[in-house]
Amino acid sequence: MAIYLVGRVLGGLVTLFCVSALAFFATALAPGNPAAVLLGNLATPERIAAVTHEMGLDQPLPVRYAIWLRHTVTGNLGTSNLSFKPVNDLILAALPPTLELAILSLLLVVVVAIPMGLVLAQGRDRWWARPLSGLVTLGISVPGFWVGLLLIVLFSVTFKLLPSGGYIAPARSLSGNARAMVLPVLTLAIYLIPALVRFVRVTAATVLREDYVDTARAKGVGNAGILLRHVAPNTLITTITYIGLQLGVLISGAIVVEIIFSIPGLGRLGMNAVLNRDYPVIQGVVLVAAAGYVIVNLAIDLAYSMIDPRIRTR
Amino acid sequence: MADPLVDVRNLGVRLVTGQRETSLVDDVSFTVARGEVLCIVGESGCGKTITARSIMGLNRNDRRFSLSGQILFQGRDLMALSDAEMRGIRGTGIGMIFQDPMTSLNPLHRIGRQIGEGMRLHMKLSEAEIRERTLLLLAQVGIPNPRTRIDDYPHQFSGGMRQRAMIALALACSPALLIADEPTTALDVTTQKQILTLIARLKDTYGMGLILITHDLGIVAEIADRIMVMYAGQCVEVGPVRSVFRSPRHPYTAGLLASMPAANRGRTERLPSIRGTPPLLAEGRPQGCAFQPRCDFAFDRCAAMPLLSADDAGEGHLDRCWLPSGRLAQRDAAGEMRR
Repeated sequence: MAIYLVGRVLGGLVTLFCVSALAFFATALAPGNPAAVLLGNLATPERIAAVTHEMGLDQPLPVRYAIWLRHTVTGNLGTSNLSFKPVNDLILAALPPTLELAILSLLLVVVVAIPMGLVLAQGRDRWWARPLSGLVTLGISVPGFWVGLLLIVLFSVTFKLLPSGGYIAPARSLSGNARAMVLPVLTLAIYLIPALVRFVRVTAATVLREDYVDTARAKGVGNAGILLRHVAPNTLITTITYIGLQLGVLISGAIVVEIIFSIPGLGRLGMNAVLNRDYPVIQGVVLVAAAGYVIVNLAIDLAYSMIDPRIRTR
Repeated sequence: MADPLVDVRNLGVRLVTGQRETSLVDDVSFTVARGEVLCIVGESGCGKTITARSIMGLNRNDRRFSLSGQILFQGRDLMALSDAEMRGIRGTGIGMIFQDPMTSLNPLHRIGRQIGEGMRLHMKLSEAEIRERTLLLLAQVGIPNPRTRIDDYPHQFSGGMRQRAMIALALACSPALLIADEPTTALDVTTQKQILTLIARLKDTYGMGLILITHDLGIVAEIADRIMVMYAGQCVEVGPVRSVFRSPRHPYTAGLLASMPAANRGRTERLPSIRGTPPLLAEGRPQGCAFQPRCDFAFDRCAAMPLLSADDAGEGHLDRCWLPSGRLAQRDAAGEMRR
């Protein structure tokens, strides 16, 4: 188990290293010069050349990567080209809204999608099967940003119940925070729920055909017991892995939602950095997102061994 | 045997797929009394398992199947029971052991918990009493060190031990009838015999009726009271095991018996086998006797479906063949002399 754990952590570090290289070179290779963006209207060829030199952008790529990597390993992600603030501070400030959005959405997704998938796996001949699966198909077909806009039109414009955007830290006003988060969380959840419902439905339907479900029926276990004690745990094992892999979708979805609802989170920070060729910020945001992905999947692997005795004793 | 434990009358199971209907089990009737062992034999795909699952009601809510006939268990028609009433019968009235012990146990639950689940549902016992009975059951089915093994997970058990645990699970609520559906097919040869002997012994201990589906005719000869031979979803011969083994009346039964390897049989060049394969019922039931295409004795009457009937009085030995009784024996003797 210890060896397994060390292996997983090392694997995660290798992944992060690859991501760092990708993030660095992909941004560096993108067209556009940060110096020109920074200077804006004041740009002349001489000034651009001077600023480029000042920022170290005239050095060869591998050298720039090595310098950046050295700083990154020590926990310093550099300084924003635009605001001249440390990238660390920018990311730390942007993290809470994103984390809150992601965690609340994920909770909502899990609480809604897993029971729905389990119930749908029971069969197509129940009366609720058709409307529910119709809803799922609709959810998969509709783009996430459009759902967000519809929700804004309905709840903010028409009924004026909830704010259409912005973020209020829970420390400042808990109710304000809750009101501001309802629509973004709903949007992100609606975007993610259908795919998970489908996954759980298919997995649970497979589990329902397992021999041990027959054994349980032969013991006289009722439908609820079969579903809760036998089908759900065996379905959860694969579902947890799937959720981990869906984290990328969650992150990209969060970016879209943050932009629609103008939430000052990681996604918006990254998006603005891309638009302004703010290399250090782009690289920092990508690295932090990747680190989140790696850490969560590592945690899922550990959770796995707690649910599944076959892995635990290995 | 005035009052049978289970009395299956004219059981029919049809599979409905789209527009087509396939008869998987056709007009099967039999009874099993307390303490009696009925063995159901026949090639794969002859409806044995479906018959067993129908008694247990495992396919009653499956829309693809339509069932007909009656299954009287202790006088109550199981097919007429509600789902809740049927759940009360499962485990307590009828226990079932499945084919593959590797997949019949929930991989996430401890062995003891799985055995105790039925007791927790049906019996008014405290947790301590359930654990005590589970330990007793594990000892009864021959699991060494039950006290340490009760909290193991299925993957820590070997195939034979898992099947023993399955037997303990099926017996947990002391059912009156035990159905064992090819309980040894997935096990290696050395454990097969042990498991079957164990089932036979526990049948006596618990005074149960036993329906054993098996391919092992040697075991049938040893433990069965009566034998039912199934072919293409029908019962083709049924009777006391001694009578059926000594004088089989259906060529299919005779073929099955002839293809049985035994140490004491006369040496022949090759082990005889029945040519051909059973019909695929999904492609429609053959006209007349279903065994006719594979039968060495087929004659013009076989174009019509023979009825299950007794050729002579007594013993409840029935067969579904047009051949007059004795004909098979004569031909058999002739064949024996040719060798």
